[in-house]
Amino acid sequence: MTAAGLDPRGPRFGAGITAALLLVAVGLALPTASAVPATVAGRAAQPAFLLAALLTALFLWGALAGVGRHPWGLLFRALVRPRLGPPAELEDPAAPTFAQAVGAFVMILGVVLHLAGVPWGLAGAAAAAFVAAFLNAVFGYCLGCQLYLLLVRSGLVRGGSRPRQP
Amino acid sequence: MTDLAVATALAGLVVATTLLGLLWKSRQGRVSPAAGTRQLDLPGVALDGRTTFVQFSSPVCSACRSTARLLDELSTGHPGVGHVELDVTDHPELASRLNIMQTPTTLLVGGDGILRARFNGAAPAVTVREQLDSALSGSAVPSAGAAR
Repeated sequence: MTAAGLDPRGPRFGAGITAALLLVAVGLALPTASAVPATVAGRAAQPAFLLAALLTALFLWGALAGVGRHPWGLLFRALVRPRLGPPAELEDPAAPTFAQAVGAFVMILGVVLHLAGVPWGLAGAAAAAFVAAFLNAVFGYCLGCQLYLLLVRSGLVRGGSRPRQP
Repeated sequence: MTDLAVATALAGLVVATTLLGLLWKSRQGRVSPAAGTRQLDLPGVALDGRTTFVQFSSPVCSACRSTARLLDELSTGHPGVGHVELDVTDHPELASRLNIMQTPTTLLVGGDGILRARFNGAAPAVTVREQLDSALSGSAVPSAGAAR
């Protein structure tokens, strides 16, 4: 792995772990999704919230520090990468880093909605993030790419504001 | 919500997502029909009379890189074939006008500026070669269906 490129199997490996944890978060959130605890403290103490908050922090880590320095990226390099052959090609870290930012945005939305007492907020956000992470891990689908294109076409992202490599 | 209902919901989520992924995968690299005779208006793209792959990419797109590598190989191997890669960030109007819904999207444009084929997503090398051969030989583009 070099500064110029990333083994593309690393982010997909990480997306697999994230998808599994998101599915657990959805499972924990569902039983009380329609009737969340009455107090903020009660909602913040729920296991589903704690796991979602941890996953949000991990997404932010990937978005800000780059996927190469994300815990799953380090795990991939330490445990998985040495057992694999060399990758066919390297990928630009901008793509998976942007995907982490999209994940962070969705999860922050879910966490805030949950703390505000909105029913289904946490379960909905975790389910949406699960769909994106699972599609990325299993099929190599890049939701961030699709969103980026929509942002460009709507004029929200312009030439000077493209994501930079971390 | 009972444990059984939660387990059912989770299983449903996984199955639905898998079906969504399979659907997406089956549509990847599809070749769109291109039987028109209208010249494409592609500002900033110099065809120079060559059959040219006009590839729309974005900086966040991983599959764009492998597509660019394939198209570079093809254009290097054929003197009459060109490859131009455009970043959608710099060409939002063109991306909207051509209804680019994903990156990479590649247009195979004849030297006369007429669209020969359109690849939505990363198309397999064999499909791209087929379409290029058809465009170079001047025959009708045969495949309008799925790439695989």
